[in-house]
Amino acid sequence: MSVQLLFQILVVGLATGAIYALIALGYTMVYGIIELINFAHGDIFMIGTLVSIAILGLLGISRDSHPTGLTLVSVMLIACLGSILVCAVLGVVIERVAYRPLRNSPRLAPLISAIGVSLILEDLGKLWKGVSYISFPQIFPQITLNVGLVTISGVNILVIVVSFSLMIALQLMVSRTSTGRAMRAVAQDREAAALMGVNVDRIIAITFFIGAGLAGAAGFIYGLQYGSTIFYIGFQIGLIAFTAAVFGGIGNLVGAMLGGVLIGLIEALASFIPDAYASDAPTLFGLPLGLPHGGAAWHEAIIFAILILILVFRPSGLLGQQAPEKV
Amino acid sequence: MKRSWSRILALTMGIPLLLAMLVACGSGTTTGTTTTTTGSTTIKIATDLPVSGKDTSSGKPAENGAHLAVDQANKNHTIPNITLVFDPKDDVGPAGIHDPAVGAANVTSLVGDALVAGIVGPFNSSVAKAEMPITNQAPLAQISPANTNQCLTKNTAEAGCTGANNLIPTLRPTGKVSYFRIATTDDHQGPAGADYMYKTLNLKKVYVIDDAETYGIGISNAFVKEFTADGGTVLGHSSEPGSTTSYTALLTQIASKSPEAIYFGGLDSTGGILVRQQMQQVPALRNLPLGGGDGLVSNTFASTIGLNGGSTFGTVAVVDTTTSTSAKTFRDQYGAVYGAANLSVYSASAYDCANIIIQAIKTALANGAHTPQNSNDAAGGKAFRQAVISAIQSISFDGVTGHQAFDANGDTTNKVISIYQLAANATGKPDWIYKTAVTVS
Repeated sequence: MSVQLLFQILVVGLATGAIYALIALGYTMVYGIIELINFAHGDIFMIGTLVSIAILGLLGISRDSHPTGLTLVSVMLIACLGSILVCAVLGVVIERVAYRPLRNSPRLAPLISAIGVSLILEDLGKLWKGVSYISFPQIFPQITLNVGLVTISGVNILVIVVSFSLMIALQLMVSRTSTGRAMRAVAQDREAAALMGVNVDRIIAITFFIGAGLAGAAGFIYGLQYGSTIFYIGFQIGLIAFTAAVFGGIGNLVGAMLGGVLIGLIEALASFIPDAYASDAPTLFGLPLGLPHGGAAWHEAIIFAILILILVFRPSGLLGQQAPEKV
Repeated sequence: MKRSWSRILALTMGIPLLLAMLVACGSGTTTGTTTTTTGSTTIKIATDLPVSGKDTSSGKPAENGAHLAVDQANKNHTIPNITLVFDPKDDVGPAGIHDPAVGAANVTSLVGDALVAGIVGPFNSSVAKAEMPITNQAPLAQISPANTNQCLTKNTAEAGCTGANNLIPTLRPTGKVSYFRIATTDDHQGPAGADYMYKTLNLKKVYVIDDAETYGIGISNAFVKEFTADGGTVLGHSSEPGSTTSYTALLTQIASKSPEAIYFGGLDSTGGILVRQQMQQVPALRNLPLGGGDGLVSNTFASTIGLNGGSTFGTVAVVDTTTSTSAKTFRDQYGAVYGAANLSVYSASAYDCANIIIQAIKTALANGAHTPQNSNDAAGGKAFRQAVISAIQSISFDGVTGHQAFDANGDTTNKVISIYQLAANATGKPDWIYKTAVTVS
């Protein structure tokens, strides 16, 4: 294991993890404020990837277009902001139609409603763009950065920079602005916040707006990073992002970011586990070390094994606090 | 309750009526021709292919090919004193795609018509599984232009057809071969891909990824075996489940081993597209070739990947006749009747299948076999069909797709794998362009 390779793998893991973290934020914000696991969130992310493709198409960008300079920057900004906006509005509409009428129902009702919305969004994606993989225009130039002996793909750096900027902005917004304070108040005690004059419905709508907007941004940068999307991608990525939110302590923003990045890093580092079937596998007392077909194939199992270990010792996640018993 | 009874009544009366009409239609073409006791001067050659719905583009060009062969034989009086009748069947079901149940019903009805001497088809291996037990018991010869599943004809461990994959007792209940095919089987794809990459492209070090499914693992293992035997180095072999979304970490690891190419065993949808795309995010792999089987050779793969990154190759188990000069006469004849736009690689395959049946009928008659009296002459039909099957088994036929003969399993001895490369077609769109053919020894 060379140092260069380790560093390259860490960059890849960080980029993957940053996307998970952006989506995990949406899960954790909604859970924090109304204690609902918003199963539709992953599919909002999927809609974000499709909306980005549609906007790029409207701007005349196809699979093989390679805009440069100012055109590239403006095209990327328009597509990213457009995806954020469409997803944010979609999130608010879903909250208004599918969750708000059920807010005082037993907790299983909105949960089932969320699963229903998830399936509806998947079917919409299928109707809109079909059942097979569709390509995401690779507009970002294929820059290769050489840092010392390490070569890094430029798009990885872009993904990391954009994701962390958005996360820092969100953190500042929640901790410094009056809306952020109101969000924290509603999360702590909805009734008391309402008594203090906070418009609870509005704050919850804003939470969905921001959470879904981040998923829209994730949809755009995911497309740049991976180059294709499909209608069920939201389920697969959403499951990992939800796990990240639980990992970090659901309801805790910094926890979700940490969880996402850690899962990305674990997933990437798992590829270092050697293939026990290979003829050159390392041995210990004559027994081959490693996993069949190498660690990469086992990354999900490894992530969940670590998750179980952490939850056994810290049931509320890495940064989660034991929520006070609600009366 | 009342209504359901009337429905049952309607069914009990309707179904026999329908059957009677079908039988009437089937025999209508032959009545009047069989006046002597020396046997019918009309013999039918049938097809069973998916020619409607979503499968039209697959089956119709093949059906046309077989039809052309029958028409030409009649025109040239290839078989003296015999008029051939083309009897096409469609195995598309209610879902709009090929349906094994419809295929089984089709061949059952063809078996019931003693004048049918052979069937060209089916197109899909799943349909073949439903039809083969029926035609084998008749017996009635079937020649498929397109079935590539190796387990239809073999039950060896080498082909991966043992245990649950051993279908031979079900598909060949009489123990005798009545099903033939001129398509090369899938188990030759991996070795052909290995030979092409090692010998033609001169790539010595590859990394292999498969999708952890039967097809992907099978084709990858066959590839690794042949590539190593050729003298190449396989740097590693990973199995990544089709649900994987991110291959970049694995690809970064692979890049550190400096491969000259990557081989992917699997489908476009179980990782093929993602691996090709994510190779572009790893600088060292950006322009590396990717090889694979027919699972990659899809329109979706071509339109999603486009012409970005390194070259992509795929093997397909058919003889490509859409561009070769040797097939030009056939293409011209076909184009004059059905239009050049309706030609596919399976047109020539089905044309050859029908011609093999025609030649077998001729040989059978020359060897003293008698045609059945009429459609209801089951005993005469059985004897004649058996003679045709024997003639096919020992045939030596030079067709558009090359020299065709059959081994003891009914597989062609003309094992050709075509290599396709992702490139721009005549209109500039990304498409799978025929490169060359590899003959499997």
